[in-house]
Amino acid sequence: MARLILGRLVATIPTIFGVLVAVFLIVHLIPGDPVTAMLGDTATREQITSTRAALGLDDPLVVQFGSYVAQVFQGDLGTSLMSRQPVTEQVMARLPSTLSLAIAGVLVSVLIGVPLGILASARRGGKIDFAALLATTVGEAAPSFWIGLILSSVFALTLGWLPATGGGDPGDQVSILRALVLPAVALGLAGMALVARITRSSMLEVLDEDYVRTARAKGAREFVVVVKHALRNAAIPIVTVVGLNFGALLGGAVVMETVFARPGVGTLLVNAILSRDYPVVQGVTLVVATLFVLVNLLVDLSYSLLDPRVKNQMAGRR
Amino acid sequence: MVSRALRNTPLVLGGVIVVFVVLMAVLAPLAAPMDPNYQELEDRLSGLGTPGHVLGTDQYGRDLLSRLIYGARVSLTAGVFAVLLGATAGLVLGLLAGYFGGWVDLVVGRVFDVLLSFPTILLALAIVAALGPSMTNLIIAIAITTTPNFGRVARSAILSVRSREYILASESFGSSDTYAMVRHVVPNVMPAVIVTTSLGIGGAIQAEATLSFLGLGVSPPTATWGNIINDGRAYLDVAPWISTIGGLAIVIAVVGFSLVGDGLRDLLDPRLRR
Repeated sequence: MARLILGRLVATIPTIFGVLVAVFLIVHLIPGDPVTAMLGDTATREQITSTRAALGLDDPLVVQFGSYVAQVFQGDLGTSLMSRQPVTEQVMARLPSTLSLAIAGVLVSVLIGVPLGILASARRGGKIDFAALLATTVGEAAPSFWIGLILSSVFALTLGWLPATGGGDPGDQVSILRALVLPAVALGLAGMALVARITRSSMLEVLDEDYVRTARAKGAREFVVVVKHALRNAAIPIVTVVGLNFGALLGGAVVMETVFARPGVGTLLVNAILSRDYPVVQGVTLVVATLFVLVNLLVDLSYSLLDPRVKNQMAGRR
Repeated sequence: MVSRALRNTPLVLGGVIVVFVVLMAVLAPLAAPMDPNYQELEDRLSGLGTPGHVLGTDQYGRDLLSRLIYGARVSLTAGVFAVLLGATAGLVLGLLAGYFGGWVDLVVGRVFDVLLSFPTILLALAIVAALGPSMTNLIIAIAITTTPNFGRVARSAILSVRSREYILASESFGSSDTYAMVRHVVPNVMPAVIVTTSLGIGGAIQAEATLSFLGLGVSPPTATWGNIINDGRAYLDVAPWISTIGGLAIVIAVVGFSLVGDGLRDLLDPRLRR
């Protein structure tokens, strides 16, 4: 198992390196002089010169990249051009809020998507199956930020049950949880569609298997047949989709934070883009993309826990 | 083929929606009752069914039906062009990687891996951050996020036909790599690409709406579905229909393209259906 994990970790290194290159290049994609773009046309020559020097833009590209990588590995993501604060500090202070939103979104997507998929597969071709198809089609088509606005309009502004904006009072767990409900449900509803579809199709595949028929023939209750025998064997594609969903919902959380004015890395990123604070843009992008890669790695590794055949295949390949 | 297509319910239903949305976009100057940017401040925030404004008005008294119809132009243009650009880039890169293999495959594969290492919307945001918010840059950003999807489809399709006898025979008769690719490989890849294109347009429409909603796409006062949702955001308590209508337009259009994609998958390549 340790060899397997190590092998997968090593395989992730080139991807992380590629992410570093891509994030580094963000500043170099800026048309014209990046410093003028950052500081605006009213910047003085001195300001431009000092910012160029601070960002190391006078050095050759390879040297700039080397310094950037060295900096990143020391945990230094640069300094914000706006607040003059270290980017690492800003990102780390806001990351828990974004992660909790993404995790809550995944939970909602699983809590709604998996039972919906199971019900649809158990009632294949029936009214429940059709309702599930309708729900997943609309869920996939609706932008999550719009679902967030609709939920906010109904449950916060009209009914007044939950807060419309903010991340809750720091230190007050109830308030933080209340502030999390609407954005998490909006994110989860958007992610639910894929989970429900995959659950349905995976369940349909295993419900026709011999061992399921045998379990039924032995008189097992339908609930036991579906949950114990079928769901367990249908779990791998579901886990894959939940893992992939986490990445998508991490991106969705970035947008959802703007809808609900939550103090996460999403609002930090959008404000940084609007104010052309490129060190912050690079820092947030790098951290979120790295998290995405690591989550995919965990999903990959979880296959072997769920299915020993996959583990053997992976070990055999090496 | 035509009778099979007509019996395909998702394709017919999706086709009707797509044709309706496309006609709405093309015929916007004829179909829209008013100029989408014309302001009637005395009629601001009028509700649904107001005489002269079937879908009401926004905070500047602009007719929402007209903005919705003109919005279809921008949202569709962004969606279609972004996906066509992404499909072309992905197809070329995927074909080169799959056909030549070796270091070309390695480099292209790595680039795709890196692009797929970013949550889609984050990648689009980062690209718009670098290039600046505008319609063209929005299309480029969305195109880049869709490129690896097409690239992978093209690459895997070419790998499955690369060693088939008719391609080897064509090469043994002295045809060039380019000829073999264009004549024999591309037609085999097209069904998968067409399906991915149709499904991708829906995603691109959503991405355009998201970026415009964040203020990083098409600038106001241009009517786009994302901008309509954003316009209504501050008035959710008094005029919730503004954002609701903008979102419904996106849902209907995306459902249409998804149904067409699903239907085409059945029609063109039943093996892809899972």
